[in-house]
Amino acid sequence: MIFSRKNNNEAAGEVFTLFGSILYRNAIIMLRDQQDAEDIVQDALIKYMEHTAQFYDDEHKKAWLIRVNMNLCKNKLRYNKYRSYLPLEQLGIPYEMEHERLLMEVVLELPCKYKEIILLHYVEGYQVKEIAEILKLTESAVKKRMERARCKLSALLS
Amino acid sequence: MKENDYDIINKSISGIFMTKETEKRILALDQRRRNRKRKMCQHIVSVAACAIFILFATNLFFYKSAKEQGFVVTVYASELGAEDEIQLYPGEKTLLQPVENPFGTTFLFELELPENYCYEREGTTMGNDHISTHGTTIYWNTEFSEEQRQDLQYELPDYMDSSIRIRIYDEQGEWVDTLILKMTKEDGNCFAELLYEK
Repeated sequence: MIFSRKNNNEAAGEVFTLFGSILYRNAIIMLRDQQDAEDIVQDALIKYMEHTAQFYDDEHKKAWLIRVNMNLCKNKLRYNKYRSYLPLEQLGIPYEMEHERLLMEVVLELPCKYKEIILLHYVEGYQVKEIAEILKLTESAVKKRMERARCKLSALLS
Repeated sequence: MKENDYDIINKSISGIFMTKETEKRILALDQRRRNRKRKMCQHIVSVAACAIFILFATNLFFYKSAKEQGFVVTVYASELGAEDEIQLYPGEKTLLQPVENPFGTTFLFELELPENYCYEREGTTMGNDHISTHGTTIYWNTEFSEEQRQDLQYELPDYMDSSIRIRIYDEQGEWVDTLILKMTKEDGNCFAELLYEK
């Protein structure tokens, strides 16, 4: 889709309506900071506005946005190595029982390369092959990371 | 870790929602774009300033004056020969001692360069004096006899100057330095001054 400058904001608005919440929650989990997450979603939308390549369908567009969002998050983490993290309550992550809170704390503690796999597989429902395409990794690398992410989660929980 | 735990993770993360304020802030894209552009400009300016500073500092650090590089200019009057030669130092105005004869005095400026270096220069004139170059020597033929001076005192000013720009090239043909040999005549006295520019 190649759209003119005039419709840029409109197009970004449409994309935000469709995928904004996905991008935002991914950024929240990756960065553990609400303000940074807002900035990253904004940057992802700006990148979309500046992007002129064609998308085959909405799924393609969504995968592209997720990849851009993840990369921006990783850049942010690399840029700000020493960060202060917000507690779960301030991030707006809902939980009912103590076990749920503990589980989410453990997920947030994971390194970002495992977090993104958990997010894409268990939250967004992508399969290994699709994750490999989104993250530009091989399928075996995705499988390996998923296995290690599970091990790490179990280890942290125990 | 139970299989059920992954459903809990899914439920918790899917439950994250944006407030109206958050949505509003995110959709203020124009403001963000302007800020990004401004930051980018600042970044480019600071990088360019750093690059210029580094370039300047490196140049200063590695810069060697003409003398340090082995470029020496000596001057002597033709009759005195090389025994009474004077070495010119950059920035020092040196009074040249004439040896008068009916044909005036010729000062010879000998330029010494490191091996394989070469230079280019042009001849010039000053009043009735003729300044020419030949090989590594610059000749300044002054009309200096008393007779000539009396003949010319109404025609020529008390102060005259002329300069020769000597561009020096290294063995690769790269321009490395420029020396300026400034010749001045004040009330009949001859001065030479070596300057360098780069």
